[in-house]
Amino acid sequence: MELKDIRSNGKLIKFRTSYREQIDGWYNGFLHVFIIYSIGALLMFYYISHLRNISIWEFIVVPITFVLCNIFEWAIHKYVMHKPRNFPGARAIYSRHTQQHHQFFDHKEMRFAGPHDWRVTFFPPYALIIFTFMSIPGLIILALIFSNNVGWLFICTTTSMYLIYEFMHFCCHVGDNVFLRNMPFVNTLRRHHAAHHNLGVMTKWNMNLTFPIADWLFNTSDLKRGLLGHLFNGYSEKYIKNNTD
Amino acid sequence: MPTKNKIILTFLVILTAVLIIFFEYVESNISHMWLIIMVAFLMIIGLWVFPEAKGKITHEK
Repeated sequence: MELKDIRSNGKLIKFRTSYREQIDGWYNGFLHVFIIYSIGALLMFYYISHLRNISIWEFIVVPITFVLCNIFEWAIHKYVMHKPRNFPGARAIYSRHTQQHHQFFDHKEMRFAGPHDWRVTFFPPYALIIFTFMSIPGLIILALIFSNNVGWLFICTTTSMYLIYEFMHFCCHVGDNVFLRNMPFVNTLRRHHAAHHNLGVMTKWNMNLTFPIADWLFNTSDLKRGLLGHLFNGYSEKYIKNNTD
Repeated sequence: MPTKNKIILTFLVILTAVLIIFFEYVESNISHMWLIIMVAFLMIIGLWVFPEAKGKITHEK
């Protein structure tokens, strides 16, 4: 059940064993992913089927929502996932992320042992339901203020960002291969997120889990370079700041 | 997630699905009605089938 060539200390291995004992025996990572992406794909089909004769100006909502989602992802990670808060659900999010996900992987060992471990990275399916409900008011307000297309494009973008988040984060926790090493954005995030898993800096650096835009914007990246350099950095360690440790 | 919250979320999923199905029925979009039924079904399965890890995970010192 564990990696044969695991690259870490006994503490991490003991935690991984303990965590796996808490998971129901029937858990199936493929079923977990199937449910999340089936809901996501059906929702996306439903939203897209409502788009009619989109004008160019209506597409402006897509990049704006994309950047706002990126900042939201950064803020949730920095201020909820890594800081214990008292509003409903926040403690559970903190526990699941800081006390489970970050104990399961460190910067030296970022890999799952198999699909039975996927649960430690993929959110439970109810997270997608909550994010969908959070997006519905935006859909209604934008449809009332601007047009139906703007509302539907908004919710298309928020749902897409959620599905991209799950995919990108998953890619950070699988073994290296040709695709991951050479795929733009994916390779960047793999290095970015592995650096974040260093327990000494996890509350300060590299909070984005899709594209490191907000990390660049709010200077919480371990890199010293511009936005494009951040996005296409890949595995390079040439621009790492000296004061991140 | 506590059972109480799951019940609330399940209720919200069903309520929203019923409302959307009603609007789609008015618009005669039968395929959309079935799509929403499938989404609601998958959401409820997802809510109840994947419980959080049970018990407290021990941290070795």
